[in-house]
Amino acid sequence: MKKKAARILSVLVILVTVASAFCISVSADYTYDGYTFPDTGKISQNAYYYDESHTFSDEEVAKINELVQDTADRTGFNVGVFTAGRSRSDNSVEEVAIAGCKGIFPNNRIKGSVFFYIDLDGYTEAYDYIYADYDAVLYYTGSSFGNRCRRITQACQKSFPPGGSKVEFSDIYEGLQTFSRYLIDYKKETGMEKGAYYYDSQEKMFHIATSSKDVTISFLKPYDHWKIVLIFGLVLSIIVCLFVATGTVKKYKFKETPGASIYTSKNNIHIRTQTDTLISTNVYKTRISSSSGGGGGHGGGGHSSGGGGGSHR
Amino acid sequence: MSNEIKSYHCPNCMADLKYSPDKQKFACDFCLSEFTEEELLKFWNRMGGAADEEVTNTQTAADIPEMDKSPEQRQAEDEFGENAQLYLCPNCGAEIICEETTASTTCYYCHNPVILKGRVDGSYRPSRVIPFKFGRDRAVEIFTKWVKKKKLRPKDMLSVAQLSKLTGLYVPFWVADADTSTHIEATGVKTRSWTSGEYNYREVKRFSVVRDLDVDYYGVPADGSQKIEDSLMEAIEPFDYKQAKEFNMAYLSGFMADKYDVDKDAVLPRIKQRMFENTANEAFSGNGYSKIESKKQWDRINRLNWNYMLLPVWFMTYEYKGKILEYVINGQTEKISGEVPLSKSKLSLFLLMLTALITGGLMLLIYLGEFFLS
Repeated sequence: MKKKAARILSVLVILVTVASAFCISVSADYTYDGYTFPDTGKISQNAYYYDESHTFSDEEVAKINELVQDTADRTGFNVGVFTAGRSRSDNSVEEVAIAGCKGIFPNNRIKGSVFFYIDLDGYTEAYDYIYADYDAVLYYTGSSFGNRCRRITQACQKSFPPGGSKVEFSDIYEGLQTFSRYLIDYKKETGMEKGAYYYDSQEKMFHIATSSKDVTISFLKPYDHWKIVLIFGLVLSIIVCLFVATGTVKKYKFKETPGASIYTSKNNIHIRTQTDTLISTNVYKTRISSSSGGGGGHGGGGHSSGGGGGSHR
Repeated sequence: MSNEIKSYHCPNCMADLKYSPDKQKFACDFCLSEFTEEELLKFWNRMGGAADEEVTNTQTAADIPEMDKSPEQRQAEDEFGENAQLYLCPNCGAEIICEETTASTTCYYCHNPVILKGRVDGSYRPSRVIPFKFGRDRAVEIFTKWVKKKKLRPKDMLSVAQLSKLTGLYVPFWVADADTSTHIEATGVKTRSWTSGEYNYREVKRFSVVRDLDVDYYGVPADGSQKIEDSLMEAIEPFDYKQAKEFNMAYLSGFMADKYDVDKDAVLPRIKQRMFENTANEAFSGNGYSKIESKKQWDRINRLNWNYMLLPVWFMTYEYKGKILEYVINGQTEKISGEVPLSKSKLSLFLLMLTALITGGLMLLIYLGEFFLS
């Protein structure tokens, strides 16, 4: 009797566990750094789309999903698209894009991800932003020669409606097609941008694109980064060397002769006349210049762990 | 001028006798005897003043009849012209060639110290001499220590060959004692600054300043030799005249010595300039003037007393890139002067290393910062 009860109980436990796991997996939202991305129910391992303001019909959303999925499959990267329905600051926009890359795709570090935030709030000036992470960085962002993400947003912007105007699906879809085309073209045709790099904080190494096809892993940043340090170091060295050289030359110069004061003493100096008559007194007055303290400088944004973005208003 | 050559011999073995600064005695390198000046004087007096010192009346090259001169002598005479003089060493008979101003030297062949008596006699006889207080080894030590502080010196500056050039030299000095009077008229400027409210204030007061002062100077020296730079000799002053002794030719034995070739009238302007510049400084010292303008000065020497002295100097020259550099060490106080040349190649290397260090350090700092902050 006891055995039977235990068997029933264990079956129940298993059933409850499986059911809960299923429920969680179906309804789980993706949260990263305070931002939550709802499970749209149509997400695959490498593609994600969310229509925040529910602007588009299911059919239209499906079409976008298909495009995003195709882009992800052809590029080999995780691709996320987010059509925003509410107003956010520029910083928040960038944070959402970063959180999308890092929060939604569990294999982000292995595959690399691209996340496109499209601003469709309809009230304020539109600010679109693309964030790339890990290996996607090497194809779409950061190098001293330019930022491909910025080029992509600029190209898409030609199709997107201006901030405040009516949103048409065809415009957005056209823009996304451009986005997709660029991503595929950069990956398949152009290749990586030489000098682009990202930092893998887990392995504490830099991944650097040394050519359009080759990647090197190093504990040092690429030459371009050090070039700036090198130039700064050289300028600093020149200044220091100038001071040192001047001081050294001075030190090596012949020291001048002492005066004849050593051949007399106070006892041998007899002042017979000493008159000091005041001729004139002049007082000069100058106003103290009030130097206004400049506004607090905004610290330059540090390089993120390999990400970067492009924007367009 | 007398052509006598003097060399002092040891009363014990008759070898050369030299003055040893380290022992402050006269020493014989052969029998290792040492004598004080008093002991030698006593001995010389007992011997009637002849046995102690060998006085050789030698011929200068010019004294040899023209027909007796060898072709070599004629050639030498042509080459050295009027300034070079030829003497015969009383010890080995070798010809000693020296300059017109040389008063004491050593024979190039037998190293016998010889004193050219005529160069330190009569009007050239110094009243006093300060004997060397330390010998050649100490001089080399002082020079080496001083030069070693200058890391960017040329490589061969401390070579054995270079250090062997360090020579003990008695330099002729004119030493002046002078009582002076000076009258100065000038404009003195006093400034003070302060802040009140939103303003900075600067007050400039001008005074008509008149000074009459008498200043007595004792022992202002000026070297009477054209060979050494005046500024170089002034830089190793002062000498302690209290340690000066009555001139005795024996002190020159073993050292080089020159007679003056610049007389006291020629050095007087230099001495006057030094004295009266100092008088002007004294006149305004401690009065709080930040600037002295439109200075007019009238100077007078009321009494002037000259002393002709020989002062001890360790002297060396160094040739660097075609330029002859001179170094002097006060043979009494160890004060040293001269200009150590800066090796441009060493300086370049040093600056290059500094650049690499700064740049490398900066890169390392940034790398470590990023490494630990990431």
